[in-house]
Amino acid sequence: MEKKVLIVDDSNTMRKIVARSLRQAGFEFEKVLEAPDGQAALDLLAGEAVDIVLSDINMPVMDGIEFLRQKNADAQIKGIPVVMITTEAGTDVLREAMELGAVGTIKKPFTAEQVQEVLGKFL
Amino acid sequence: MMADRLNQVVGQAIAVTLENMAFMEIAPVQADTEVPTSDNGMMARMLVLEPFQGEVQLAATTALLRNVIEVVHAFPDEAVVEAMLSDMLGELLNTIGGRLLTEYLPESQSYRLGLPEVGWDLPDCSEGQSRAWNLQIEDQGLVLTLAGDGFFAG
Repeated sequence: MEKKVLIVDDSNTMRKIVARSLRQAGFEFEKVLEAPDGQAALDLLAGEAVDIVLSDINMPVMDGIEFLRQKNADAQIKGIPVVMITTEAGTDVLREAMELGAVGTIKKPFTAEQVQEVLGKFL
Repeated sequence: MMADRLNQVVGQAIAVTLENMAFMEIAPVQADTEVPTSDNGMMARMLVLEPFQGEVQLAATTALLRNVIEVVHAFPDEAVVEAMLSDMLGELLNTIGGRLLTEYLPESQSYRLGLPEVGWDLPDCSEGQSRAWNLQIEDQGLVLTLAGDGFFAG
C-alpha cells in the first residue's frame, strides 16, 4: 500500500500503539509520520502529502478541534480525511469534531480490529 | 448499589485498557504485590473539569511501567528513560479516566478532562470524598484513586 499516514498525539506511547495497531490491522504504509500536536501536524502537512490523519483531541499547544478548523481553512489539505482517536467518545467535543469534518472516531482503548473497521472505509 | 457500579466500571476501565494497550491482565492485589511508593513508582493526576469537579490519580511501580513499555514499543531502540515512564503513565491515566467516565456517566452526558500531570510525588487529592482501588499486574501494583463528590453522588 503506497500510502502515508500521519498520527497526531501528544503521547509518544499512544503514537506507538496506534502505529502497532495499524500493522496488526493489516495496513502497510509507505510512511508513518508522527506529530505531537495540531500545530506540528499542520507544519508537517505543509510539506508532505498524506492520505489519512489519525488525531487525538485533547492535546497541548493545539488540540484536535483547532487542528480540524485550521486544516479546513487551508484548501491544499482540506480534503485529507481525519479520524479522531480519543477517550472522549459521545461528548460535545467529539460531536464538534464530526461537524468540522472528521470522518470517523476510534475510542481509546482500542483493538486492531476496531482500527481495521474504521480505517477500512477510507483505505 | 452506586458503589457496586463504580467498582465494576473502575475494574473494567483498567482491565480493558491494560489488555488493549499491553495485552496484560489485572488481578486483585496480593500480600506480596509490590505496591507503588515514591521510592519505586510514579504518580499521575488528571482533573475532571465537567460535569463535576474531581480528580483521577494513578500510581504504578516503575517495574510495571517498564514492562508495559517493552510490550508497547516492542523492544525500544533507546533505553527506557524517565520521559518514557512518565508518558506511559500519563497515557494509561488518560485512557482509563476517559473510559471510566464514558461508562459511568449517562450516555448523553458530556464530560471534559484536563491533561495528565506526572511526577514522583503528588499533592493530596482535591477536596471531597475519595476512594482508592489497589490492583496488581504481573506482581506489580497499580493504584487508582478517584476524588470528588461527583463520583460518589446518588
